[in-house]
Parts: sequence; structure tokens; C-alpha cells
Amino acid sequence: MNKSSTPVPAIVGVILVTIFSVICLVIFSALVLLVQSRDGALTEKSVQSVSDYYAADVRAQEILAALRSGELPDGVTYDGSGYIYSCDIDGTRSLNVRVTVDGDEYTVLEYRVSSDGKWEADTNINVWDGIS
Amino acid sequence: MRPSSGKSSLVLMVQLIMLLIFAVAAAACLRIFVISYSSSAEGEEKVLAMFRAQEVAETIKSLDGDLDAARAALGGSEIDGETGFAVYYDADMSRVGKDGSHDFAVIVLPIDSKNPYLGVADISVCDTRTRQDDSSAGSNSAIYSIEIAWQEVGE
Repeated sequence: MNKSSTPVPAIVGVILVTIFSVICLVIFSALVLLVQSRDGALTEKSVQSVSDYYAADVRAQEILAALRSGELPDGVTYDGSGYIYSCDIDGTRSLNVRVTVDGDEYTVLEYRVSSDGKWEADTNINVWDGIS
Repeated sequence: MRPSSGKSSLVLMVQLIMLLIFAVAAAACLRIFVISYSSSAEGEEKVLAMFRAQEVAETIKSLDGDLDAARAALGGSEIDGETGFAVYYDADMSRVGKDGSHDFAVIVLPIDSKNPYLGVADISVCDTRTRQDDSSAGSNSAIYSIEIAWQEVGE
């Protein structure tokens, strides 16, 4: 009659609840860290992109100032009506400049960022052509 | 009474150990949240600093490098002993006067380009909460810094 009940269910319950809580906390923290890491990388890329653009802009302005001084820097070509040159921004984009000269007057006709990457069409996607 | 007391203390001990484990895990997670929050705030600050530096850069370039006109347009203030100017911002990166409470400053300092046709300036966004003396730009406290160039237009 004096059979005492074992405390096993209570102990197991406490352990399970704790393990579940700890797992939830760890997963949540890992996700927070992952999101923050990705967010930080995106921020760095965005900031670096602007810095790269202004660095290329400075180089382009230096070349233009050199042309106005009567020099012909490396990488500048003359096509009969004006000068053409390009400044690399970040390996995938470049700043293209086209300047015409009329006596002492230099006119910037083009000051454009363009992508250096080649676009390739993917023709391997297997789509239904409506027949077979 | 004894066996029952022994079982109760066992349950209590297990509960205490589990509570300790939970507390350690919660403390570690809390630390991760704090690190993540401060890192996120730092990133936000850097992006806002970049926007402000860009705003100043494009204003100067649109005015052909006329720093006085740019200072007037941006509501900036002269820097003692320097030829450039500074624009002050509060913690939300909203523009404020020099005399008001400011947390950030965009400092513009012209650089000698060695070419009369070329104008160059350094634009640095500094945290004035950590740096009271903003008379010397290009210091280590700059959150973001860019160099800009423009063509000097002859008279």
C-alpha cells in the first residue's frame, strides 16, 4: 500500500521542456546571426559600390583635366572628333567617357556607367512548345 | 517520510540544473542579440553616412566645385583655420546647425590636385560624439570617406 510513486515523469518533463526551450533559443539566435551577417555583407557591398564609383569618377576627371592640359594619358583614343576613354569601376562596371574638342572647348558627350559582363541567353530551359 | 523527501529533493535538483542550463543558453543568446543589434545599427549608420556624403558630393559637383555656394546650399558652416566647410547632422542624420546638438558632421576639405583644370576635395562623415575637434578631417573617426573631383571652369 505504501508504494511510493517514482518522480521519473516529472524529471523527464522538466528535461524535455528545457531541451526544447534551449533548441528554440539556439535556432532563433542562429537565424538572427545569419540574417545579420547577410545584411552586413549587403551593406558593405552597397557602400563599396558607391566608393568604387566615385574613385572611377575621380580617375575620369583626372584624365579629362590631363586632356585639357594638352596631355594624352594612356588608354585614351582619338576618333577624329573627340576622345574616348573608359575607367574601370569594380571589374564588372566601367565609366565610359566621350569628349569632343572644338578649339579650347571640351564638351562631354557621354559620361555613362555600363556593364562589362557579357549577357548570355540560356537556351537549355526545357519548356513546353505547345505541340508535344 | 524520508523516501518522499529524497524524491522531492531529486526533482528539485533536476529542476535547478535545467534552470541553470536554460539560463546559460539564454545568456548566450542575449549576447548574440546584443552583438547583432549593435552590428545592425553600425551598418545603418554607415549607409546613412554614405547617403549624406553622396548628397554633399553631388551638390559640389553640380555647382562646378564652388565650395562657398555648396556650403550655402547645404546650410553648412566654415571650419576654423580650414578652407573647407562642415555640415552637421543629428542622430537621425537630419541637418542641424553647428551651434545645436549634433552627432555627425560631413567635413569637406579641398585637396591640391597639382593641375589647374582639376578640383579635388575629400568628403568625410565623422561621428562628433566621439570626436569633439572637427578641425582636422581625414581622421580615424571617419565613418565614411570619399574623394571627389570636378573640372575647374575658367573665368
